Amino acid sequence: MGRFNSLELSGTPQETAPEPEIPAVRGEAPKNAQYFIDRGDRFFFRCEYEAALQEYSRAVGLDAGAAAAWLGQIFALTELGEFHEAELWYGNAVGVVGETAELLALRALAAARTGDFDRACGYSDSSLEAGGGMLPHIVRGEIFLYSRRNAEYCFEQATAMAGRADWKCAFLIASACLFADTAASATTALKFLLPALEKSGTRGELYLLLARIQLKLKQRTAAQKALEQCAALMSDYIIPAELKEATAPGFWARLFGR
Amino acid sequence: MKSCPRCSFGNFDHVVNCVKCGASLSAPERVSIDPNPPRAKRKHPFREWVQRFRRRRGFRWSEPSEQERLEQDPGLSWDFKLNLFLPGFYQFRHDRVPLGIFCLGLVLGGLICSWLMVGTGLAFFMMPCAVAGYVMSIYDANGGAVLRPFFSATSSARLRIEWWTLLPDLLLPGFFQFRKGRYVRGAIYLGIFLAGWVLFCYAIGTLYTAWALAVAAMGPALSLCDMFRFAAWPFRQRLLFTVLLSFFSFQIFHQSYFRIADAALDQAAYTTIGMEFAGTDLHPGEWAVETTNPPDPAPGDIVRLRIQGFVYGAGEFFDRLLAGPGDVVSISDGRLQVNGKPAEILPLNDRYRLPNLPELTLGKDEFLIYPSAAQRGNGHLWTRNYAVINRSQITGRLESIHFPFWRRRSLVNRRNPEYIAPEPHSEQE
Repeated sequence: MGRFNSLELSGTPQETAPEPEIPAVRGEAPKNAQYFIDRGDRFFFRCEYEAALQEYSRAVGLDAGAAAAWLGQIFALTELGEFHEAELWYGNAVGVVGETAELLALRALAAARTGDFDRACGYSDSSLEAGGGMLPHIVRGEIFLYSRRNAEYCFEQATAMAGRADWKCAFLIASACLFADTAASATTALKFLLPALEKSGTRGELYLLLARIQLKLKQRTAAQKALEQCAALMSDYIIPAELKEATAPGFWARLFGR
Repeated sequence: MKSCPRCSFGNFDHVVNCVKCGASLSAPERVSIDPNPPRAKRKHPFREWVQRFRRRRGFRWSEPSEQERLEQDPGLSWDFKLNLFLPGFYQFRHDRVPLGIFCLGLVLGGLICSWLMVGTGLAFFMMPCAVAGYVMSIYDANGGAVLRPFFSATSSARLRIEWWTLLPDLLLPGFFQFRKGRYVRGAIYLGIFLAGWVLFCYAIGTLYTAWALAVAAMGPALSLCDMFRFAAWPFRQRLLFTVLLSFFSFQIFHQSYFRIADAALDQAAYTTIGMEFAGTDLHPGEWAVETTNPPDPAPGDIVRLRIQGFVYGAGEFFDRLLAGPGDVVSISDGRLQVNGKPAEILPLNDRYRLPNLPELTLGKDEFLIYPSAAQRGNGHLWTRNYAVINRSQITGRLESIHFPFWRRRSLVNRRNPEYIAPEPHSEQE
């Protein structure tokens, strides 16, 4: 959209930021940057990162100063496995919204996931020095997972900062543990996800992540139940085919009707 | 007058856009930002694999700096101070009993042995043992709380080394691993050990026995390295200790096995053919039956000879008797003539160039012999004084080779296999 900004339409250059679209129906939320950020978050926590990225991009297009949208973009790129692109986009984000602890943490996350641990540790240190917060501690915990250190301590810190009721923190912790891809880290993920599920039991996203973790732990029946819960709570969500396939009963279970 | 925010050009008040650069003069220009991030053009499976591998392998967190170490140091405790006078005491108190025994044993053993061996050269080697035990004890006591474990296997309680099984743990490869339920690696270490000894038995009588024993020594050395992994140490120290441990334990096991095997072979009362006989009729490592003081040595026999007087590099050697009592011998241009004919019997090493010898007749009980395999270098040619020997100098004779089985043969009076007898008609001419 940026390339259309400097077009001179009807002889007058566009002088101000584009106004958000006027609600067509009374009562509808105004479609400003925050609206698209919320939509992006919604997709993000459903693990639909492409859609989330689109929404965050719309938010950035509407308000370039929306730090949350930039964060979401970089996070979504990282989750999509496009670490190099995330690093490039970090440069743009810093130019616009300035270097924040969260942005540094995401940079550390991208570096850690590429296996560049020296840089990751440096960025993580910087992010903690720049003020810390929930996300820097979660990223620190993920880096600790790779170095077999006490990651749970960092996750506890992040949980304490976010408040016990914040299900998003538990989600991010669990997804970080899931990405570390070991049975031990999956157990750690469960340790943080289950309390959040007790408090925010209406969140289908948590059940979706729970299903993934239990698949990692080879508990197919439990994963299937979690997916059923997820489907019941998020009626508009289409469960990915690979998840359905992974939780489907195996040959012997089908043979004996169990 | 309006100044352009972009190029600072002064424009008239009624002008909407700058006449120089075209920028809007009424409002600040918005920064043009493409809100869409760059995207990857394609998947990179290999790159992803490498990244996953790196994440799986993980990394070691950077070590704390020396300053942090010092800050963590709790100071010297009373048992550390007592340990200065009684090495091993700190280890006994802090659940590192094997190390305590080891240090105390080294110190006491070193002191006592050096006292008993005063006046011998060994006393010089005993004192460093005592010092090493003392230093090890102090070193461990100084950083033991921070750097533990030094002597215990790992920080895991499951893999702790119990001191009462230390000896079999050290000596029997795989013993520790089987005790701790690590059956696969235990079987691997034991398998390497057994494979080495089987190879050794197969290679007896060849040059490869040392290599086979090296394979056998790898079993217990690997087992030791698995026991002592220095898990709580910083990476560089851990690497250093592991390298040192593997190197020295391998050397010790290799040497021990070599000596054990050598002693066992000596028990069999065979004479083992040495390395210097490579390339002759004999093969290094063969087991030969030897008769001491043979009553009737004859040309062609391989005899053990004791040199009278000092000869550099050869006090005693085996070689073949070239001529016997009453023979007329001469050597010219490296060719031996016996009784006016080219010799049928040549030294063991056929590449040995015989030194010139004027014609002479061997007297009673006199033999001609050259140390073709044992002599080192060409600096000292074997003189007539040494080449003509008396019967009393012959102390033994090799009768036959018994091992390896596939090379069993008699050695008595064997002619030179490369000798070509002159044809009868040439004699008539």
